[in-house]
Amino acid sequence: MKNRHAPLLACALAGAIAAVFAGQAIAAKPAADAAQLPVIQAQLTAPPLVPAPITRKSPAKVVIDLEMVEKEMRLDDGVTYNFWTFGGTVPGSFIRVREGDTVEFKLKNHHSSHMSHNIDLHAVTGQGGGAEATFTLPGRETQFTFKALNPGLYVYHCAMPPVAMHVANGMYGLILVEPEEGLEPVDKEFYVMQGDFYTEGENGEKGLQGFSLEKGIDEKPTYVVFNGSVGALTGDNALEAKAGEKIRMFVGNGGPNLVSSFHVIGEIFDKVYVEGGTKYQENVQTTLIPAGGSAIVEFTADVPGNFVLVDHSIFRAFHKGALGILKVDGEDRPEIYSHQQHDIEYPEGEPQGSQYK
Amino acid sequence: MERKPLPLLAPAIAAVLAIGPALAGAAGPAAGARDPSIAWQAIPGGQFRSAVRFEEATATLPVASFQLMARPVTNAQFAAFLQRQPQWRRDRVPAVFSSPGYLGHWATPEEPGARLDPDAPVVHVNWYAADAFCREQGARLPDFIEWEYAAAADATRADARGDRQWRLRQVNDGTPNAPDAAPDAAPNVYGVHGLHGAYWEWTGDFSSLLGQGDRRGQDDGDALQFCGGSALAFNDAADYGVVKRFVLLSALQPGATLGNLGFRCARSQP
Repeated sequence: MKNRHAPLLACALAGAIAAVFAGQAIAAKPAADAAQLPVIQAQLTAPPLVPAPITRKSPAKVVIDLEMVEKEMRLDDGVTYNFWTFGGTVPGSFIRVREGDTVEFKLKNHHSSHMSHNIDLHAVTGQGGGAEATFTLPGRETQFTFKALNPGLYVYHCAMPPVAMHVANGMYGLILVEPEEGLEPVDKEFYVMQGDFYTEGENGEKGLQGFSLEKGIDEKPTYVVFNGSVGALTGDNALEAKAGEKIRMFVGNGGPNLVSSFHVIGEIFDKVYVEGGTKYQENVQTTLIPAGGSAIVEFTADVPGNFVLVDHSIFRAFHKGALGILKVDGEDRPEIYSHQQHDIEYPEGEPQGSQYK
Repeated sequence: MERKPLPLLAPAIAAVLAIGPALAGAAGPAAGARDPSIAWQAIPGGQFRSAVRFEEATATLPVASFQLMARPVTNAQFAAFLQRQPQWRRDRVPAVFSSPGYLGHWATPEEPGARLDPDAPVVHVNWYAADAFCREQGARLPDFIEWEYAAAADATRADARGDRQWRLRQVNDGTPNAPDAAPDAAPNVYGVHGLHGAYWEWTGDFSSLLGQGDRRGQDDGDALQFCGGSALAFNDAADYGVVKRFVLLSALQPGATLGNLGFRCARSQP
């Protein structure tokens, strides 16, 4: 018999113990009052779509089915990456529940996954945000239930060690907990989430690109994108609205490293629910979205045009991909914005410039 | 049968392992049925600083000299084992050692079939069957630290972990993009292939990797306060190849099978 070494116990791993060895004991306790609630299967959406607003006026038991899938997808033209996803997309499926709901969360890990994953929802009050209850091996499903106590727009992400790698590979998304009174009606809602990616090759280098741990640790991303790839929100994929429509964007930042200076060129946010919380600021040009945080921005598209979503840390927008388009169709309103009215030469005054002595 | 029924907790496995050598010696006909296609490589022991923070908290831990299979057990080798030990066929294995996915991808209970490479590592094998295979060979599954010790080597160095570029490539361990995933990838300095390959591999002590059962309750309060700090379990949280493998193995139950989990055997030096 050789020496046997027992590793030191620590956080997420302690959670795993509970899940693995005490699974039966901890699973058998449904919330006492949940039995009377109507049961609703949540309809999840892929970005940039958002599930319909909740019209219920009372709590429900909401069942969420989410599958984690590792898959090679496009990161840029001619560039692919092995993304790890919640629901097959980056960011992951959008989840919408109501304050006071009891949420039964079922998490599957696809049989083809190469390793275990879990989920930490920032909307959860409880150990690990659910991570300790969802240590999910490939081919398995885990389940836990939480009560959505606090309204707001929350990030969820994988918290399996090495956490940074799981997040860097795209394992994040948003869950909205609508306040009991609901959100003010709008004409269009969109789901936009920023993320930074670290590839072995340089930006634009073709082919399947591996994850660069070195660049991740150095916080030097090769790509900074909205909705998982360069061009996910441009060209044929641009967001679309009509002039006069009121627009709400649920904006998240998965990180793993960068903080976003979120801005829409040519628009002013009438309201920003700062950090995804309850209070709003009015008349905002650029809002700061922390890694692992969010904001709800609202504005009316008063005039037509192509409005450009950017991270105003602006090299990221023009060199790393953090750029999207909101295409607004409709009638011009010259009293608000005239377009160019002239382009003429004007007389030079006192000569200036380096060519003069 | 000396095996313990489910749930197989750490102390139980330790007990099984402790009597392992005696069992193998007493196995009679089984011990004579060693597979000549298995190549063994000697791993000279030494002091080792694991990336995992073991509770001894000493800088280095001793690893005794041992032998390790040069390659993971293949489909062909496992099919041959089933010929000799048909009680481990998926249609005959006792329920207590069975699991839904056990060899479920094979064409028949006896053969992997034409769609699988006979020389590829066998996967979807649970711990019980892997353990039985190794016992039949007069061997055992390696401990995690033995795997880590052998896997610290590259083609020329016994401990190449100081080479950051070499180590960073191990983030892809367990996937087809892993550094040793190609069948023709070079062996390490011990002549062992595929330790950083496309497949995870069982260790004998997988279920004790999170500490022993009787310590869990009392440590719970403190350990959980470190939430978000799972890196605390590691001396080197940037050794992603080790961290990923450790985390995956630590969550397995002995009946688990995965499409990228195989095994190889080790044997202690006489």
